[in-house]
Amino acid sequence: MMRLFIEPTEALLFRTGRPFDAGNDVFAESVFPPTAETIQGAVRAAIASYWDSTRRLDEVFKLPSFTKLIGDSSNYGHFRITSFSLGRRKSNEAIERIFPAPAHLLQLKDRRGNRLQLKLKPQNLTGVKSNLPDDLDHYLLYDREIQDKDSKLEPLCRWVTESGLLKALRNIDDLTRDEMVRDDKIYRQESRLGIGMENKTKTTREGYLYQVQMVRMEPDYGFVVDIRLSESPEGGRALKPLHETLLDDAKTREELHLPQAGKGWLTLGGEQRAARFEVVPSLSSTQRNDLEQVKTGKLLYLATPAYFEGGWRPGEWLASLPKLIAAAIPRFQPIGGWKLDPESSGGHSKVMRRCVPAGSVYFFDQPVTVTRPLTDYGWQIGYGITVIGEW
Amino acid sequence: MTEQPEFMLMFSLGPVQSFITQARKTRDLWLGSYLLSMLMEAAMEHLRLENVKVKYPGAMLVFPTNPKIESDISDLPNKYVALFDDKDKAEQAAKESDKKIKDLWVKICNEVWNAVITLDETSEAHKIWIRQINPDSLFEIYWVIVEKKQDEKYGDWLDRTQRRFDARKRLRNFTREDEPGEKSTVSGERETLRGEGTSRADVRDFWEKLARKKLSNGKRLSAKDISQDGSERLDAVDTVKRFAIYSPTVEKELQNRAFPSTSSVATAPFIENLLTKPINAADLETWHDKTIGELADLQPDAIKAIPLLEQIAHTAYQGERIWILRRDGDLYFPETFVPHRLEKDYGIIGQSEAEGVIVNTGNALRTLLTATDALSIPRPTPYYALVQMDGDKMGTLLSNVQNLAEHKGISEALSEFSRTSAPEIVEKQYLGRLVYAGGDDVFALAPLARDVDQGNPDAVFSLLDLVDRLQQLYCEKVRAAVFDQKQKEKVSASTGIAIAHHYTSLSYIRRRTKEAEEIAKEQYGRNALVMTVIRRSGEQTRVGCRWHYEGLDGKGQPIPLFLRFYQLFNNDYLSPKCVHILLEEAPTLVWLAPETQESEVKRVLLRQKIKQRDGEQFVSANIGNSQEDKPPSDEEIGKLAEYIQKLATKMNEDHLPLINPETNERESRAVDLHSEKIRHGLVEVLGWLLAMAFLARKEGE
Repeated sequence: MMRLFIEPTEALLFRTGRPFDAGNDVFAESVFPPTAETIQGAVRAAIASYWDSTRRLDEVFKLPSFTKLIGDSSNYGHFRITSFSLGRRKSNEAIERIFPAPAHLLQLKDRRGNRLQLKLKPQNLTGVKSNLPDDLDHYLLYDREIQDKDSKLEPLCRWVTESGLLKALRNIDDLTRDEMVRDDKIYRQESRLGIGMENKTKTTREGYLYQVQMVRMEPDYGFVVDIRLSESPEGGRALKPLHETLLDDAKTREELHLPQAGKGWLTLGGEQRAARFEVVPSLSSTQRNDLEQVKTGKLLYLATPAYFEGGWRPGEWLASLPKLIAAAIPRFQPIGGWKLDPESSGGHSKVMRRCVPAGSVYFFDQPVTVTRPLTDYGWQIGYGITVIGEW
Repeated sequence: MTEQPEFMLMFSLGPVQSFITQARKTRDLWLGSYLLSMLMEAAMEHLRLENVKVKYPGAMLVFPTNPKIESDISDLPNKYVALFDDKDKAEQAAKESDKKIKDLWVKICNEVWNAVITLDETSEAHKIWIRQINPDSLFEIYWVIVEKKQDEKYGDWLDRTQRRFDARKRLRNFTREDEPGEKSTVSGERETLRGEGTSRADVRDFWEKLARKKLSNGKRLSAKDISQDGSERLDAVDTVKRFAIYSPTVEKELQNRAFPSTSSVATAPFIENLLTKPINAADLETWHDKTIGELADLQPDAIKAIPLLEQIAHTAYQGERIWILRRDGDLYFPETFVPHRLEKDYGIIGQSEAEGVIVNTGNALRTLLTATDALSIPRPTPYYALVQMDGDKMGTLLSNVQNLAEHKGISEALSEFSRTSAPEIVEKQYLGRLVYAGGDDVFALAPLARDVDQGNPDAVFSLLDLVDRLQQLYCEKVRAAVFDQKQKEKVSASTGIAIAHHYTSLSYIRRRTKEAEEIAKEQYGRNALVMTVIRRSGEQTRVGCRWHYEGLDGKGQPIPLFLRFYQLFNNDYLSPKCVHILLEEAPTLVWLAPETQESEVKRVLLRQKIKQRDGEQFVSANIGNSQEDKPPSDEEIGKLAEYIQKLATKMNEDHLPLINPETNERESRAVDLHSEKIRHGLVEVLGWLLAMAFLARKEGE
């Protein structure tokens, strides 16, 4: 896999689905983190810009050699995103991935501020009836008894490092403080005041003052994207995930024509703000102790949002999946976006889908093996990336 | 109840936050909230005392004790608890609640469609409508029934039921719902209702025509209902919330169908002065004449939007000026008078008509403001506040109840607070309006302060006063219902306030208010108040404190101290420059000995004390003088400096910084007022003083 670390240098705007018309609307907000749609758009545009620097982007996207490789607006060609997360540069320059905290991790805070980490585990209860979906017969309860009624139970944190996630999913030690990451360590909101301009006269327009809430990432924080190329382009337009053979790292890099130095620039989000990217040196598989090495377990964690025809779970239950007994799923995340028309500044609103949020956890009664993304949409660009664990 | 109850049913309806927060107008906020209350009322109808005997003998509704909406305020919680002697009956009751919610929702939706949209059922709009109003995919209904264990105490049973209920809610199962095309300008999540065309221009055209067409009752929608230029494009759920008052089922429940805009809330103190002060009659008459037609709201209820203003308008000048209440607050701001705003908000179309209004009404406004300036009436502020109060640790309090009687007593106390105390303070003693008051939750809109003589010490004159009285009354009512002395002491409430410009997105401000309330609980340890001032430039100041600190004098407690500074700034007895000077000095000051800090604070306050105004020498008040609306004596300034320093010390002791994960040690306190970290107490107190200067409108508008 070829891993990119994208480090924003400016405040970013990842717009919500709410339309914004200058003059009528006076306020726009940003979501965080950006969706897979945004990231794939930025990465593919960056590849296009390095493909042939003598041509404009819309011209590159008309080159058959290029679109065959990474697709166009209706097809992803050979292009695949196999992992997407936040990341930070550590003091030794290594890039550490940061993931949404699993939804079954909680902490109990007592009156004196002491914190006790808890994990939810499926339990079959007697004397309890509810409107849980009919085929689920377990409730998620803490793995130890709580006596102190004054204690408060709350989510452990919003983000965890890769090592923290591994601990949580392998059901071993508590996470250390360094493995739990607060929002304010990663980014802060930044407000910008703007005013509409009269294009002809280059003067400001009365009554067109607007405010935008942007996101500024803290130094050394950014996004980590794993990119691969499939041997075959067939999956580029397939709705359901396919088993594919993927090219190795060196070949991927060669095919994509990225800068020799492995470093470059791309634009990200609304208003096309600048970000640096660099190719992160690969570790050999024996050196790696990462999430992707875990092959089997009774728990499935979603590292990125997934879309299912069945809403909170796949429409068709995969034959490789055993019986689901419980799930920790927060409220759905609506994900849409804006499809740019490369030949003009226009475009149109994409379908807004209800997605299972990243961090959701499914619990099974038997070990599960998943080798492909678990999603009914966008598997090529980073939806439905799962990690297996234990409970 | 004939036999001992053995089964506890806990039932909730959601999503509360997104259903309410997706709002562009305050009316969306209010009606969204009111609709949820109506749906909960339907959910509990079969569990009312008079109905329960028929279908559910042996059942008892414990919370809330009165399951009926009592006024135009959304006053029912989104959750109920009931006891049954039979598990099947409990399950049947839960399913009946589910069904009644959905039946009522569909009925209201159909009524709104028939009253407002009235298009053919084969239309694109109707297809979208049917998809989006589907209650099975829209609502999040969770319930759990838990059987009592042998010899289990009531409080333990309730606590166990709550934990099982939380376990149920850990899976927020949902159905697939794809929303293609142009999205609503309110929710931003669902497709807007539209005709055959799918482009933004087509959709805009659809809404422009809809905004101008006749309703089924022959009337027309006004710009208060929906922007007339197609700039507001709604999905089905937004449409139901926006036009719910046109549903006969909702209409018959509402006595007062008016709700103030953010502009009207912000300008309410100015309007109070317009109603009561001796303003030149000719200037007022000109204002009246130039704001008739599209600029006036002729709906019968328009005068009731802010209840206290209505009451004042009826008594002042024999009710002659009540017409002022038919003008929206945004008419008092010159930026309203530009063509696209006049079209969007008032339906004034055409260059010449708009220009006529801009010149004539603009001139009338200037004349009016000159007249009010002459009477020293402060100009209208564009800022208003959203207030969110929430009882602390209600779950813990309930899990410690000794028996059913205590649980019911607390339910009754909450009901009394939300239905009597909260409306009394927010709407009868202040110029605010409640959006929601149910259970231990209050959500309201309020102006920053009343710009009137503060003769009556019991009256509520400022936002800070308002939130303090609210939490005091909440604690008083609930404590009286709690049996155990130790548990009584734990009763408290936390409040979040967001102060924002009237043009800032309402849904954003709503979220910031909720966030402020959460910070009050998390960062300030509950029993606390957090206020976020969001300036139009985007700059924000967030300050927080506990309501009360042990060991401080009454006047040195946060609220009395901050209110005194509010008075000093408001009356121009003290320049807010003192706060800026002290904030500049803060990085050094915080490291000095307490007595040195106090001495420096006193020196700066004395230097910034304003000794005279317009040549008039002030007469200072003495310490302990009940007439606090007087300039401070040097002695009082010394005392205020002492209070500031002592409060800062208490805050340092009380609010410990977070532990830094890298070093495993507590983070250093911030000396920067805009830092997200825990700040030095002195910086926090100075931040509060800056906020008081803002409330007094001497700072950063």
